[in-house]
Amino acid sequence: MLNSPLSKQLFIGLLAALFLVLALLAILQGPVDLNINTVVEILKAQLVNYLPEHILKWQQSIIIDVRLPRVIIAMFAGASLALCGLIMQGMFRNPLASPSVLGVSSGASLGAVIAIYFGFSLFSAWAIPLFAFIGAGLSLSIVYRIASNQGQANIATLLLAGVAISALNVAAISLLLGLSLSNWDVARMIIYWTMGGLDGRTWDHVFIILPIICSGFILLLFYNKPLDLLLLGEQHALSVGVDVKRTRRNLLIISTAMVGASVSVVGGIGFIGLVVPHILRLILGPSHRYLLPACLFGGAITLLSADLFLTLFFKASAIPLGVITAGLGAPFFLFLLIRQRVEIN
Amino acid sequence: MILKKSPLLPQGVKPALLSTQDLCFAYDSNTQLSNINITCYSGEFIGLIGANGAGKSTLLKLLLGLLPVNKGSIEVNGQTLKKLKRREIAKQIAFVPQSFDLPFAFTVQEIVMMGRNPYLGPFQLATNNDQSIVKEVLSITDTVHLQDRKVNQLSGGEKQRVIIARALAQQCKCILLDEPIASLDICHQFETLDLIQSLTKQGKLAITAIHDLNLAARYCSRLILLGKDQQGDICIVADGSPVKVLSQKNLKDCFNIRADIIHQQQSIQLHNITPIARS
Repeated sequence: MLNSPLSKQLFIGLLAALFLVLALLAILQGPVDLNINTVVEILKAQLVNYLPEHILKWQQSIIIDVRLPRVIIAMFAGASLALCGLIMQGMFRNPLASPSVLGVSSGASLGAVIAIYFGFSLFSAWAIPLFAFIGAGLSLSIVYRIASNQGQANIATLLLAGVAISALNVAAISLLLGLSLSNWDVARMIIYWTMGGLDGRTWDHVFIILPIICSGFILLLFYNKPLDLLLLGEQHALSVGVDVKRTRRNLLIISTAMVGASVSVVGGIGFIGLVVPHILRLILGPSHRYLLPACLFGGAITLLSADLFLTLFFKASAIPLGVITAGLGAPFFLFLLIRQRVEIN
Repeated sequence: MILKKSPLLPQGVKPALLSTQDLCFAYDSNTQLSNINITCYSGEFIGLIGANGAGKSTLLKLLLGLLPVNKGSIEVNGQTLKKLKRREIAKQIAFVPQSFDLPFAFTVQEIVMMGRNPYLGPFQLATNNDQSIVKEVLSITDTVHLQDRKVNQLSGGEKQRVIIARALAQQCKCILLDEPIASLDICHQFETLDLIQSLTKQGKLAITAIHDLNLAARYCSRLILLGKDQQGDICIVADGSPVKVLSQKNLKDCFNIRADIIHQQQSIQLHNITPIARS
């Protein structure tokens, strides 16, 4: 663990640098080879609004309309999942909490599928994010009600409540999909949406995810001290002047909005919210002043590199992004469970 | 502002620091606190005693504003508690909770600095003044040598001192403690009570829930005994000096025990404590 504030700041700077390198790599990577000079010139051209003659229109369109939104969505979705995991682990005082484990992600998925099934998504691009937000919020508040007792969440109850709600959400999604099969247009939309991932994402998706997650992150920064204090327990937080009820409610709303936005754009991508905050807490310690920015970059790095890994090594096959994150995250989750069992014995 | 005389200290015009007027509270229809009237002054070390379930923790939570008052009111430093925001309450009343388990690795210094939270904005860093207050309370509680240690690696006694240091960093005139010595060994029990006593001698008001009647009699300047009245409601059975409160009758009625009461200097000790067989 890093101890001095300077080394922590340096580490966060390092994360930011790594993030920029990865973002550039991701833009360079794709079925069509474009060298780095061309890419840089196209990005520059976009800023000054002037395209040099030797660059072709289709090259510009690949970078600006295909790869750039993909990279931006990957970084914001990854960042939001990691941040939400951090907030939930802090609020539940439990390192095993995360959006996917607590059934929040599947709740958001159910909301989105409902919006598609009943045709709300045809009226407005905001219907899916709105319903995802409602689904995520309902799931989280149910799990929270069941599992928390005076601000302390029992590990077993919390995980079981999450499992139950997840199962219910997944069953409801299957039910809607089954019912919709008679109307192939709707069924196709649901199947396409549930596959998730970053393929075919456009600037429309960017404009859904970007404002919500940016404003969510800025609001979370205001809660850096209450989040630290909540880690000590409800009574401690109250006794040093935190309005626990209000703080909890606001944090729940912010994190639900962020999960809803990212799930409605990229689908359920599991375990980033569990693994990233946990590793960063081991390195930086529990103080949220450092963890919040670190999770922002760490989550973006993780999702970008998972996507990069897929495009580099599995070009031909269409493996969903969630497979990679779950493949790495689920063993880590089991490792945490085993370690906790050892500690208890 | 209500000026009442303390049952012990005839200070006359000295204003009450913390007082309740006809306080009533109920979790459900069965158990309830009814008509609690307490007036506390600075410099008092008040022990809150009573059998299990007699409402000691509940009363402390009410005094902190953690539970909603059904009837009556609480005043702290002349202001109505209900009208104060949590941050304002945290500048008036500090609280030392009963349990302190923390799976997260904050350093002792960070924990104690959290006591300055009511005075700092969301992005404000600790000022020199905050730093020197933290340094001072670390030395008062004899935890200077622990300041860079991780709090999840400390022993029970060390943790208790750290959490008292955090409460002191709030610089409040009132400190409420919920059984601060329940999980400590006998030596640390004495050390902790010595510390609280020395704080009250400097003019702070300490109210502590406490189970050990002998230690309560030895350290506290005043005891408040909670028990049940004929209707089964929780009320104050006795309020005053240990000599007055720890009588044979009160011990029998509230704790169901018999004991020899030995007078020592200005205090008393209980010997040969035996339970009374329930008929």
